[in-house]
Amino acid sequence: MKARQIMHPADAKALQVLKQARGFNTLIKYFMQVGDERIMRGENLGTMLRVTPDNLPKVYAAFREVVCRVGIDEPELYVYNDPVMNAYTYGDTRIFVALSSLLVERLTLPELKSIMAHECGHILCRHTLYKTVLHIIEDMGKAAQVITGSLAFPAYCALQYWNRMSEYSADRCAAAVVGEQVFQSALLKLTSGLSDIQGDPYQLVEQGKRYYEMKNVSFFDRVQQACREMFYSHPQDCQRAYEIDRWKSSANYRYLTNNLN
Amino acid sequence: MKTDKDLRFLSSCENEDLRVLCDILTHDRLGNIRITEQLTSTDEYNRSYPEDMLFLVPQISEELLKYGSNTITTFWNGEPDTYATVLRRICRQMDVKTKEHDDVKTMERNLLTELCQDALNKMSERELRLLANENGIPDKRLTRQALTATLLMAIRTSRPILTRIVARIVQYFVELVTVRGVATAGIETATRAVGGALGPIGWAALGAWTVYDISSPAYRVCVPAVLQVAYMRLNRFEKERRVA
Repeated sequence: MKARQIMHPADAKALQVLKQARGFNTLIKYFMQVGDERIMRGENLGTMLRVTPDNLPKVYAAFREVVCRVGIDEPELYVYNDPVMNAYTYGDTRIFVALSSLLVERLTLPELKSIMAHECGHILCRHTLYKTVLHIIEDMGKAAQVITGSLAFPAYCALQYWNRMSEYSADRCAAAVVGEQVFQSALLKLTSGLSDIQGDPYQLVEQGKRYYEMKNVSFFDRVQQACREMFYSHPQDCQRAYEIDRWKSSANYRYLTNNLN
Repeated sequence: MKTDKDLRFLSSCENEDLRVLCDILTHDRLGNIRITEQLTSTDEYNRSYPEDMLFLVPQISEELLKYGSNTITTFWNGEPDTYATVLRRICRQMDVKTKEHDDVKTMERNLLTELCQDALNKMSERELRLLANENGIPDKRLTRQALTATLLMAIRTSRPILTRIVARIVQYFVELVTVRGVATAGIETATRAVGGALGPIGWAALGAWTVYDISSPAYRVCVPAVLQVAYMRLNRFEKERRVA
Protein backbone atom coordinates (compact mmCIF):
# COMPACT_ATOMS: atom_id res chain seq x y z
CA MET A 1 0.00 0.00 0.00
CA LYS A 2 1.23 3.50 -0.81
CA ALA A 3 0.35 6.61 1.19
CA ARG A 4 -1.02 8.42 -1.84
CA GLN A 5 -3.50 5.61 -2.51
CA ILE A 6 -5.26 6.29 0.77
CA MET A 7 -4.60 9.97 1.38
CA HIS A 8 -7.68 12.15 1.56
CA PRO A 9 -7.22 15.16 -0.78
CA ALA A 10 -7.69 17.64 2.06
CA ASP A 11 -5.04 15.84 4.13
CA ALA A 12 -2.60 15.76 1.20
CA LYS A 13 -3.07 19.50 0.56
CA ALA A 14 -2.65 20.48 4.21
CA LEU A 15 0.39 18.22 4.59
CA GLN A 16 1.96 19.82 1.51
CA VAL A 17 1.69 23.22 3.16
CA LEU A 18 3.09 21.94 6.47
CA LYS A 19 6.04 20.26 4.73
CA GLN A 20 7.23 23.63 3.47
CA ALA A 21 8.35 24.58 6.99
CA ARG A 22 11.51 22.48 6.66
CA GLY A 23 13.66 23.92 9.44
CA PHE A 24 10.79 23.66 11.88
CA ASN A 25 10.19 20.02 10.90
CA THR A 26 13.85 19.12 11.47
CA LEU A 27 13.70 20.75 14.89
CA ILE A 28 10.59 18.80 15.87
CA LYS A 29 12.12 15.55 14.59
CA TYR A 30 15.23 16.16 16.70
CA PHE A 31 13.06 17.03 19.69
CA MET A 32 11.11 13.79 19.23
CA GLN A 33 14.22 11.62 18.94
CA VAL A 34 16.13 12.96 21.92
CA GLY A 35 13.20 13.72 24.17
CA ASP A 36 9.63 12.71 23.60
CA GLU A 37 10.15 9.29 22.01
CA ARG A 38 12.41 8.10 24.83
CA ILE A 39 10.09 9.46 27.48
CA MET A 40 7.11 7.75 25.82
CA ARG A 41 9.01 4.46 25.49
CA GLY A 42 9.82 4.57 29.19
CA GLU A 43 6.16 5.31 29.93
CA ASN A 44 4.96 2.45 27.72
CA LEU A 45 7.36 -0.12 29.17
CA GLY A 46 6.61 1.09 32.66
CA THR A 47 2.84 1.36 32.66
CA MET A 48 1.40 -0.60 29.70
CA LEU A 49 1.23 -4.22 28.63
CA ARG A 50 3.45 -5.01 25.63
CA VAL A 51 1.71 -7.33 23.16
CA THR A 52 4.02 -10.15 21.97
CA PRO A 53 3.56 -13.60 20.33
CA ASP A 54 3.49 -15.11 23.85
CA ASN A 55 1.34 -12.45 25.38
CA LEU A 56 -2.15 -11.90 23.88
CA PRO A 57 -1.18 -14.10 20.87
CA LYS A 58 -4.45 -13.53 18.96
CA VAL A 59 -4.16 -9.76 19.21
CA TYR A 60 -0.51 -9.96 18.17
CA ALA A 61 -1.27 -12.22 15.18
CA ALA A 62 -4.00 -9.80 14.07
CA PHE A 63 -1.58 -6.90 14.39
CA ARG A 64 1.11 -8.72 12.37
CA GLU A 65 -1.41 -9.38 9.63
CA VAL A 66 -2.46 -5.73 9.49
CA VAL A 67 1.15 -4.48 9.47
CA CYS A 68 1.99 -6.87 6.59
CA ARG A 69 -1.00 -5.68 4.57
CA VAL A 70 -0.24 -2.02 5.09
CA GLY A 71 3.43 -2.68 4.33
CA ILE A 72 5.15 -0.78 7.15
CA ASP A 73 7.88 -1.81 9.61
CA GLU A 74 6.32 -3.45 12.64
CA PRO A 75 5.79 -0.94 15.44
CA GLU A 76 5.61 -1.98 19.11
CA LEU A 77 2.05 -2.72 20.28
CA TYR A 78 0.79 -1.97 23.79
CA VAL A 79 -2.48 -2.30 25.67
CA TYR A 80 -3.23 0.21 28.43
CA ASN A 81 -5.88 0.22 31.11
CA ASP A 82 -8.65 2.61 30.17
CA PRO A 83 -12.46 2.44 30.42
CA VAL A 84 -12.74 4.53 27.20
CA MET A 85 -12.43 2.93 23.75
CA ASN A 86 -9.43 4.62 22.20
CA ALA A 87 -6.13 4.00 20.42
CA TYR A 88 -3.17 6.10 19.35
CA THR A 89 0.22 5.96 17.70
CA TYR A 90 3.35 8.01 18.25
CA GLY A 91 6.98 8.26 17.17
CA ASP A 92 9.16 9.01 14.20
CA THR A 93 12.01 6.52 14.56
CA ARG A 94 10.66 4.23 17.35
CA ILE A 95 7.00 4.08 16.54
CA PHE A 96 4.41 2.37 18.75
CA VAL A 97 0.67 1.74 18.72
CA ALA A 98 -1.36 1.72 21.95
CA LEU A 99 -4.85 0.26 22.37
CA SER A 100 -7.13 0.82 25.35
CA SER A 101 -8.21 -2.27 27.30
CA LEU A 102 -11.92 -1.63 26.64
CA LEU A 103 -11.26 -1.56 22.91
CA VAL A 104 -9.69 -5.03 23.03
CA GLU A 105 -12.57 -6.34 25.12
CA ARG A 106 -15.52 -4.85 23.25
CA LEU A 107 -14.54 -5.20 19.60
CA THR A 108 -14.45 -8.38 17.57
CA LEU A 109 -11.09 -9.34 16.08
CA PRO A 110 -11.89 -7.96 12.58
CA GLU A 111 -13.12 -4.71 14.16
CA LEU A 112 -9.97 -4.53 16.28
CA LYS A 113 -7.95 -5.01 13.08
CA SER A 114 -9.75 -2.01 11.63
CA ILE A 115 -8.58 0.15 14.57
CA MET A 116 -5.04 -1.22 14.21
CA ALA A 117 -5.12 -0.50 10.46
CA HIS A 118 -6.31 3.03 11.21
CA GLU A 119 -3.24 3.63 13.39
CA CYS A 120 -0.98 1.99 10.79
CA GLY A 121 -2.50 4.39 8.25
CA HIS A 122 -1.21 7.31 10.35
CA ILE A 123 2.24 5.70 10.33
CA LEU A 124 2.16 5.09 6.57
CA CYS A 125 1.21 8.72 5.87
CA ARG A 126 3.80 9.98 8.40
CA HIS A 127 1.27 12.00 10.34
CA THR A 128 2.97 11.63 13.71
CA LEU A 129 5.46 14.46 13.22
CA TYR A 130 2.82 17.15 12.78
CA LYS A 131 0.57 15.66 15.43
CA THR A 132 3.49 16.21 17.81
CA VAL A 133 3.59 19.91 16.89
CA LEU A 134 -0.11 20.10 17.60
CA HIS A 135 0.30 18.44 20.99
CA ILE A 136 3.13 20.80 21.90
CA ILE A 137 0.93 23.83 21.13
CA GLU A 138 -1.92 22.23 23.09
CA ASP A 139 0.35 21.55 26.07
CA MET A 140 1.65 25.11 25.95
CA GLY A 141 -1.94 26.28 26.02
CA LYS A 142 -2.83 24.12 29.00
CA ALA A 143 0.28 25.09 30.95
CA ALA A 144 0.42 28.82 30.34
CA GLN A 145 -2.75 29.82 28.46
CA VAL A 146 -0.52 30.62 25.49
CA ILE A 147 -3.05 29.67 22.81
CA THR A 148 -5.91 31.98 23.61
CA GLY A 149 -5.41 35.40 22.08
CA SER A 150 -1.86 34.69 20.97
CA LEU A 151 -0.17 34.31 17.61
CA ALA A 152 -0.25 30.53 18.08
CA PHE A 153 -4.05 30.48 17.78
CA PRO A 154 -4.32 30.56 13.94
CA ALA A 155 -1.51 27.99 13.71
CA TYR A 156 -3.32 25.83 16.24
CA CYS A 157 -6.61 26.03 14.31
CA ALA A 158 -4.85 25.22 11.02
CA LEU A 159 -3.11 22.22 12.57
CA GLN A 160 -6.33 21.05 14.18
CA TYR A 161 -8.05 21.22 10.76
CA TRP A 162 -5.25 19.15 9.23
CA ASN A 163 -5.48 16.75 12.17
CA ARG A 164 -9.14 16.11 11.38
CA MET A 165 -8.37 15.61 7.68
CA SER A 166 -5.56 13.18 8.53
CA GLU A 167 -8.11 10.97 10.30
CA TYR A 168 -9.94 10.50 6.99
CA SER A 169 -6.75 9.12 5.42
CA ALA A 170 -6.24 6.73 8.34
CA ASP A 171 -9.90 5.65 8.04
CA ARG A 172 -9.32 4.84 4.38
CA CYS A 173 -6.40 2.62 5.36
CA ALA A 174 -8.67 0.79 7.82
CA ALA A 175 -11.43 0.35 5.25
CA ALA A 176 -8.95 -0.93 2.65
CA VAL A 177 -7.48 -3.51 5.05
CA VAL A 178 -10.63 -4.92 6.64
CA GLY A 179 -13.37 -3.86 4.22
CA GLU A 180 -15.64 -0.88 4.63
CA GLN A 181 -18.47 -2.81 6.30
CA VAL A 182 -16.27 -3.97 9.18
CA PHE A 183 -14.96 -0.41 9.50
CA GLN A 184 -18.53 0.92 9.73
CA SER A 185 -19.46 -1.59 12.43
CA ALA A 186 -16.32 -0.72 14.46
CA LEU A 187 -17.19 2.96 14.14
CA LEU A 188 -20.74 2.28 15.35
CA LYS A 189 -19.34 0.63 18.48
CA LEU A 190 -16.92 3.50 19.07
CA THR A 191 -19.77 6.00 18.75
CA SER A 192 -22.25 4.20 20.95
CA GLY A 193 -19.85 2.56 23.39
CA LEU A 194 -21.92 -0.62 23.10
CA SER A 195 -20.40 -4.05 22.59
CA ASP A 196 -23.24 -5.47 20.54
CA ILE A 197 -24.76 -3.56 17.64
CA GLN A 198 -27.74 -5.01 15.83
CA GLY A 199 -29.41 -3.70 12.73
CA ASP A 200 -28.11 -1.46 9.99
CA PRO A 201 -24.29 -1.09 9.96
CA TYR A 202 -24.70 2.02 7.77
CA GLN A 203 -26.74 3.97 10.32
CA LEU A 204 -23.93 6.53 10.73
CA VAL A 205 -23.73 7.05 6.96
CA GLU A 206 -27.41 8.02 6.97
CA GLN A 207 -26.80 10.32 9.92
CA GLY A 208 -23.89 11.85 7.99
CA LYS A 209 -26.16 12.61 5.03
CA ARG A 210 -28.73 14.22 7.33
CA TYR A 211 -25.97 16.19 9.05
CA TYR A 212 -24.66 17.66 5.78
CA GLU A 213 -28.22 18.45 4.66
CA MET A 214 -28.74 20.36 7.89
CA LYS A 215 -25.35 22.07 7.69
CA ASN A 216 -25.82 23.23 4.12
CA VAL A 217 -29.21 24.88 4.56
CA SER A 218 -27.69 28.37 4.84
CA PHE A 219 -24.39 30.21 5.18
CA PHE A 220 -25.21 30.83 8.84
CA ASP A 221 -25.67 27.09 9.46
CA ARG A 222 -22.34 26.34 7.84
CA VAL A 223 -20.51 28.91 9.97
CA GLN A 224 -22.29 27.81 13.14
CA GLN A 225 -21.40 24.15 12.67
CA ALA A 226 -17.85 24.99 11.55
CA CYS A 227 -17.31 26.98 14.75
CA ARG A 228 -18.54 24.02 16.78
CA GLU A 229 -16.20 21.61 15.00
CA MET A 230 -13.20 23.96 15.00
CA PHE A 231 -11.53 22.57 18.12
CA TYR A 232 -12.32 18.88 17.55
CA SER A 233 -9.28 16.65 17.15
CA HIS A 234 -11.23 14.12 15.06
CA PRO A 235 -14.02 14.56 12.52
CA GLN A 236 -17.41 13.61 13.91
CA ASP A 237 -18.18 9.91 13.58
CA CYS A 238 -21.04 10.45 11.14
CA GLN A 239 -18.69 12.45 8.88
CA ARG A 240 -16.10 9.66 9.03
CA ALA A 241 -18.71 7.05 8.14
CA TYR A 242 -20.02 9.19 5.29
CA GLU A 243 -16.54 9.85 3.87
CA ILE A 244 -15.71 6.13 3.78
CA ASP A 245 -19.07 5.42 2.16
CA ARG A 246 -18.17 7.90 -0.60
CA TRP A 247 -14.64 6.52 -0.98
CA LYS A 248 -15.79 2.91 -1.35
CA SER A 249 -16.82 3.62 -4.94
CA SER A 250 -13.32 4.84 -5.89
CA ALA A 251 -10.80 2.99 -8.04
CA ASN A 252 -8.22 3.13 -5.24
CA TYR A 253 -10.55 1.33 -2.81
CA ARG A 254 -11.39 -1.32 -5.38
CA TYR A 255 -7.72 -1.82 -6.23
CA LEU A 256 -6.62 -2.06 -2.60
CA THR A 257 -9.37 -4.44 -1.48
CA ASN A 258 -8.73 -6.69 -4.48
CA ASN A 259 -4.99 -6.77 -3.96
CA LEU A 260 -4.66 -6.70 -0.17
CA ASN A 261 -7.26 -9.29 0.78
CA MET B 1 -24.41 21.14 -14.01
CA LYS B 2 -24.31 22.93 -17.40
CA THR B 3 -21.29 22.30 -19.62
CA ASP B 4 -19.88 25.21 -21.67
CA LYS B 5 -20.98 24.85 -25.32
CA ASP B 6 -17.38 24.84 -26.52
CA LEU B 7 -16.43 22.05 -24.15
CA ARG B 8 -19.35 19.70 -24.88
CA PHE B 9 -17.20 17.85 -27.41
CA LEU B 10 -15.18 16.46 -24.48
CA SER B 11 -17.99 13.93 -23.98
CA SER B 12 -16.92 12.23 -27.21
CA CYS B 13 -13.19 12.15 -26.44
CA GLU B 14 -11.10 9.19 -25.39
CA ASN B 15 -10.84 8.20 -21.75
CA GLU B 16 -7.04 8.50 -21.69
CA ASP B 17 -7.07 12.06 -23.09
CA LEU B 18 -9.66 13.10 -20.51
CA ARG B 19 -7.56 11.53 -17.80
CA VAL B 20 -4.54 13.58 -18.86
CA LEU B 21 -6.68 16.73 -18.78
CA CYS B 22 -8.00 15.84 -15.34
CA ASP B 23 -4.47 15.15 -14.04
CA ILE B 24 -3.27 18.54 -15.31
CA LEU B 25 -6.05 20.18 -13.29
CA THR B 26 -5.54 18.18 -10.11
CA HIS B 27 -1.81 17.44 -9.85
CA ASP B 28 1.43 19.30 -10.54
CA ARG B 29 4.49 18.05 -12.46
CA LEU B 30 5.82 16.26 -9.38
CA GLY B 31 2.55 14.42 -8.77
CA ASN B 32 1.57 16.57 -5.78
CA ILE B 33 -2.08 17.47 -5.49
CA ARG B 34 -2.87 21.11 -6.34
CA ILE B 35 -3.91 23.01 -3.24
CA THR B 36 -6.71 24.97 -4.92
CA GLU B 37 -8.26 22.12 -6.92
CA GLN B 38 -11.80 21.05 -6.05
CA LEU B 39 -12.22 18.00 -8.26
CA THR B 40 -10.72 15.17 -6.23
CA SER B 41 -13.10 15.57 -3.31
CA THR B 42 -16.24 15.20 -5.44
CA ASP B 43 -18.38 12.05 -5.52
CA GLU B 44 -18.11 12.01 -9.32
CA TYR B 45 -14.31 11.88 -9.16
CA ASN B 46 -14.45 9.03 -6.63
CA ARG B 47 -16.79 7.09 -8.87
CA SER B 48 -15.33 7.84 -12.29
CA TYR B 49 -11.57 8.35 -12.06
CA PRO B 50 -9.67 6.87 -13.87
CA GLU B 51 -11.81 4.39 -15.82
CA ASP B 52 -15.06 6.21 -16.64
CA MET B 53 -13.85 9.73 -17.30
CA LEU B 54 -16.82 10.58 -19.55
CA PHE B 55 -19.01 10.91 -16.44
CA LEU B 56 -16.60 13.51 -15.11
CA VAL B 57 -16.73 15.84 -18.12
CA PRO B 58 -19.05 18.50 -16.56
CA GLN B 59 -16.86 18.69 -13.45
CA ILE B 60 -13.63 18.85 -15.48
CA SER B 61 -15.07 21.64 -17.65
CA GLU B 62 -16.16 23.64 -14.63
CA GLU B 63 -12.81 23.21 -12.91
CA LEU B 64 -10.94 24.35 -16.03
CA LEU B 65 -13.11 27.45 -16.35
CA LYS B 66 -12.68 28.26 -12.65
CA TYR B 67 -8.91 28.10 -13.03
CA GLY B 68 -9.15 30.37 -16.06
CA SER B 69 -11.38 32.95 -14.36
CA ASN B 70 -10.86 35.46 -11.60
CA THR B 71 -12.18 34.00 -8.33
CA ILE B 72 -13.72 37.28 -7.17
CA THR B 73 -15.49 37.77 -10.51
CA THR B 74 -16.69 34.17 -10.45
CA PHE B 75 -18.08 34.67 -6.93
CA TRP B 76 -19.77 37.92 -7.98
CA ASN B 77 -21.29 36.53 -11.20
CA GLY B 78 -22.18 33.18 -9.70
CA GLU B 79 -20.40 31.36 -12.52
CA PRO B 80 -16.96 31.35 -14.17
CA ASP B 81 -16.15 32.93 -17.55
CA THR B 82 -16.97 31.06 -20.76
CA TYR B 83 -14.34 28.88 -22.43
CA ALA B 84 -14.06 31.39 -25.29
CA THR B 85 -13.20 34.17 -22.81
CA VAL B 86 -10.67 32.00 -20.99
CA LEU B 87 -9.08 30.95 -24.30
CA ARG B 88 -8.83 34.56 -25.51
CA ARG B 89 -7.17 35.51 -22.20
CA ILE B 90 -4.65 32.69 -22.57
CA CYS B 91 -3.87 33.63 -26.16
CA ARG B 92 -3.12 37.16 -24.94
CA GLN B 93 -0.94 35.77 -22.15
CA MET B 94 1.04 33.70 -24.66
CA ASP B 95 1.33 36.50 -27.23
CA VAL B 96 -0.83 34.68 -29.77
CA LYS B 97 -2.63 37.12 -32.07
CA THR B 98 -6.43 36.92 -32.02
CA LYS B 99 -9.13 39.00 -33.66
CA GLU B 100 -12.21 40.19 -31.83
CA HIS B 101 -14.60 37.90 -33.70
CA ASP B 102 -12.36 34.81 -33.93
CA ASP B 103 -14.21 31.67 -32.92
CA VAL B 104 -12.84 29.05 -30.50
CA LYS B 105 -11.53 26.76 -33.26
CA THR B 106 -9.55 29.56 -34.92
CA MET B 107 -8.06 30.72 -31.63
CA GLU B 108 -7.11 27.17 -30.68
CA ARG B 109 -5.53 26.52 -34.07
CA ASN B 110 -3.50 29.73 -33.77
CA LEU B 111 -2.45 28.73 -30.28
CA LEU B 112 -1.35 25.25 -31.39
CA THR B 113 0.48 26.61 -34.45
CA GLU B 114 2.34 29.04 -32.21
CA LEU B 115 3.14 26.21 -29.84
CA CYS B 116 4.52 24.09 -32.69
CA GLN B 117 6.62 26.95 -34.04
CA ASP B 118 8.05 27.55 -30.61
CA ALA B 119 8.84 23.85 -30.16
CA LEU B 120 10.35 23.47 -33.67
CA ASN B 121 12.70 26.38 -33.05
CA LYS B 122 13.93 24.63 -29.89
CA MET B 123 14.44 21.18 -31.49
CA SER B 124 17.87 19.84 -32.49
CA GLU B 125 18.60 19.09 -36.16
CA ARG B 126 18.37 15.37 -35.51
CA GLU B 127 14.91 15.74 -33.91
CA LEU B 128 13.76 17.93 -36.82
CA ARG B 129 14.90 15.35 -39.40
CA LEU B 130 13.15 12.58 -37.47
CA LEU B 131 9.93 14.61 -37.41
CA ALA B 132 10.22 15.36 -41.14
CA ASN B 133 10.73 11.66 -41.94
CA GLU B 134 7.73 10.68 -39.84
CA ASN B 135 5.56 13.08 -41.82
CA GLY B 136 6.87 12.09 -45.26
CA ILE B 137 8.84 15.29 -45.85
CA PRO B 138 12.14 14.70 -47.76
CA ASP B 139 14.94 16.20 -45.69
CA LYS B 140 18.29 15.07 -47.14
CA ARG B 141 19.24 18.24 -49.00
CA LEU B 142 17.77 20.67 -46.49
CA THR B 143 19.74 22.71 -43.96
CA ARG B 144 18.40 23.14 -40.42
CA GLN B 145 16.83 26.50 -41.28
CA ALA B 146 15.23 25.18 -44.45
CA LEU B 147 13.95 22.12 -42.61
CA THR B 148 12.35 24.30 -39.93
CA ALA B 149 10.74 26.49 -42.58
CA THR B 150 9.40 23.44 -44.45
CA LEU B 151 7.92 21.98 -41.30
CA LEU B 152 6.38 25.35 -40.39
CA MET B 153 4.79 25.57 -43.84
CA ALA B 154 3.47 22.00 -43.48
CA ILE B 155 1.94 22.86 -40.11
CA ARG B 156 0.17 25.89 -41.56
CA THR B 157 -1.18 24.13 -44.64
CA SER B 158 -1.85 20.56 -43.57
CA ARG B 159 -4.19 19.70 -40.70
CA PRO B 160 -3.07 16.00 -40.53
CA ILE B 161 0.57 17.06 -40.18
CA LEU B 162 -0.37 19.67 -37.59
CA THR B 163 -2.30 17.03 -35.64
CA ARG B 164 0.59 14.54 -35.77
CA ILE B 165 3.16 17.11 -34.72
CA VAL B 166 0.92 18.51 -31.99
CA ALA B 167 0.40 15.01 -30.64
CA ARG B 168 4.18 14.61 -30.33
CA ILE B 169 4.84 18.04 -28.91
CA VAL B 170 1.85 18.83 -26.69
CA GLN B 171 2.94 16.79 -23.68
CA TYR B 172 6.47 18.18 -23.85
CA PHE B 173 5.18 21.73 -24.13
CA VAL B 174 2.65 21.30 -21.33
CA GLU B 175 5.55 20.50 -19.01
CA LEU B 176 7.59 23.40 -20.35
CA VAL B 177 4.78 25.85 -19.68
CA THR B 178 4.32 24.49 -16.18
CA VAL B 179 8.00 25.04 -15.36
CA ARG B 180 7.82 28.60 -16.75
CA GLY B 181 4.78 29.29 -14.59
CA VAL B 182 6.60 28.17 -11.45
CA ALA B 183 9.63 30.34 -12.30
CA THR B 184 7.39 33.40 -12.79
CA ALA B 185 5.71 32.78 -9.45
CA GLY B 186 9.16 32.80 -7.81
CA ILE B 187 9.94 36.24 -9.24
CA GLU B 188 6.60 37.59 -8.02
CA THR B 189 7.27 36.33 -4.51
CA ALA B 190 10.62 38.16 -4.43
CA THR B 191 9.00 41.39 -5.66
CA ARG B 192 6.33 41.08 -3.01
CA ALA B 193 8.96 40.74 -0.30
CA VAL B 194 10.35 44.12 -1.45
CA GLY B 195 6.82 45.58 -1.17
CA GLY B 196 6.71 44.45 2.47
CA ALA B 197 9.68 46.66 3.30
CA LEU B 198 7.90 49.84 2.12
CA GLY B 199 5.97 50.47 5.34
CA PRO B 200 2.18 50.83 5.87
CA ILE B 201 1.38 52.19 2.37
CA GLY B 202 3.42 49.37 0.88
CA TRP B 203 1.62 46.85 3.09
CA ALA B 204 -1.80 48.08 1.95
CA ALA B 205 -0.78 47.92 -1.71
CA LEU B 206 0.81 44.54 -1.08
CA GLY B 207 -2.36 43.20 0.56
CA ALA B 208 -4.55 44.32 -2.35
CA TRP B 209 -2.06 42.95 -4.85
CA THR B 210 -1.81 39.59 -3.10
CA VAL B 211 -5.60 39.21 -2.85
CA TYR B 212 -5.98 40.03 -6.54
CA ASP B 213 -3.05 37.83 -7.52
CA ILE B 214 -4.19 34.71 -5.72
CA SER B 215 -7.70 35.15 -7.11
CA SER B 216 -6.66 35.83 -10.72
CA PRO B 217 -6.48 33.12 -13.38
CA ALA B 218 -4.00 30.36 -12.54
CA TYR B 219 -2.05 30.32 -15.79
CA ARG B 220 0.33 27.57 -14.75
CA VAL B 221 -2.68 25.25 -14.58
CA CYS B 222 -5.04 26.54 -17.24
CA VAL B 223 -2.46 27.09 -20.00
CA PRO B 224 -1.47 23.40 -20.20
CA ALA B 225 -5.13 22.44 -19.69
CA VAL B 226 -6.30 24.62 -22.58
CA LEU B 227 -3.50 23.27 -24.79
CA GLN B 228 -4.67 19.75 -23.99
CA VAL B 229 -8.29 20.71 -24.84
CA ALA B 230 -7.15 22.31 -28.12
CA TYR B 231 -5.20 19.18 -29.00
CA MET B 232 -8.17 16.94 -28.14
CA ARG B 233 -10.49 18.98 -30.38
CA LEU B 234 -8.01 18.92 -33.25
CA ASN B 235 -7.51 15.19 -32.85
CA ARG B 236 -11.25 14.55 -32.83
CA PHE B 237 -11.86 16.56 -35.99
CA GLU B 238 -8.99 14.78 -37.70
CA LYS B 239 -10.50 11.39 -36.80
CA GLU B 240 -13.94 12.47 -38.04
CA ARG B 241 -12.38 13.73 -41.27
CA ARG B 242 -10.63 10.40 -41.83
CA VAL B 243 -13.86 8.48 -41.25
CA ALA B 244 -15.75 10.77 -43.67
